[in-house]
Amino acid sequence: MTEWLEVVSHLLVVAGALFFVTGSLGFIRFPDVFTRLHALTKADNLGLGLLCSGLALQADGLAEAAKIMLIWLLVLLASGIGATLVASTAAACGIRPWQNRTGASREAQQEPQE
Amino acid sequence: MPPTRADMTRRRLLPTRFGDWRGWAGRLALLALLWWILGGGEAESWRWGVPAIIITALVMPIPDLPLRPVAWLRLLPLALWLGLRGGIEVAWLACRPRMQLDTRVIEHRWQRLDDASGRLFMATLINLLPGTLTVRIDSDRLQVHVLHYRDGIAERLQRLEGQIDALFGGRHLRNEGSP
Repeated sequence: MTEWLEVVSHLLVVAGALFFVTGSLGFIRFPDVFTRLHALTKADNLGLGLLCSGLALQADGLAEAAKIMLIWLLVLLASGIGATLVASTAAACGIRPWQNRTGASREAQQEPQE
Repeated sequence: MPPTRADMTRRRLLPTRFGDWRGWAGRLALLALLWWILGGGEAESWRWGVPAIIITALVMPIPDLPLRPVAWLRLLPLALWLGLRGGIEVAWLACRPRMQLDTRVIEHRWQRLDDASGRLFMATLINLLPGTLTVRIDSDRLQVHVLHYRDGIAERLQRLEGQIDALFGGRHLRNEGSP
């Protein structure tokens, strides 16, 4: 592996780990199940994508790199479908989305668009 | 007498598996690619791989994703770009010392997509895009939770529906035309 490729690979892995940290931070700080799902489906998936890309650059061959990226693709699929299932179950159980108590933010049922 | 479930399954499987050569070729190519990835590209692995691929192609459920390479090539970079933006937005909102969220639940009425697979695909894709999460899929609308509301989200969902319709669109017309 050329030296610059190794540098890019390490940068991607570090960036991926940072997005995992922010996803976990969102999971702790966000107020309800719906907002926490945003943190898990977006920041963590981006983190895993960067991590897998960094590791794929260090792979021995194309097939191995493709295998690492396939892991990301499968996690993306599972995460996207899982998030809908968790959110719809929460809504069906009567959990109301969080709204900001200051009034600056609000949950609103927007009028259906014609 | 109405057809039984077994009749419908047989009717669905047989002509499609042996009559639709494009679907057959697509499944074989996809499984071969997967085997190549899982086998690490070793030539020896194909001794088991070829029978496994053929048997799997015969028994696997038929994927309901259309083969439209140009539409996929248009959608893929956009989805990756929006996924990157979504991750950055959530990271930014999670790290701000004073967390300010403007969460809402909006409704997106289906305007073009009337294919069940297409709607499910859009509902899944929405979860990976910036600030949106599918809460409920109905026959006439989609309920979407927005993490931090901004103008233009409804228009973005409409555009996305148009792009996914380019992948799945027109199938309902073919289905209606078939006996």
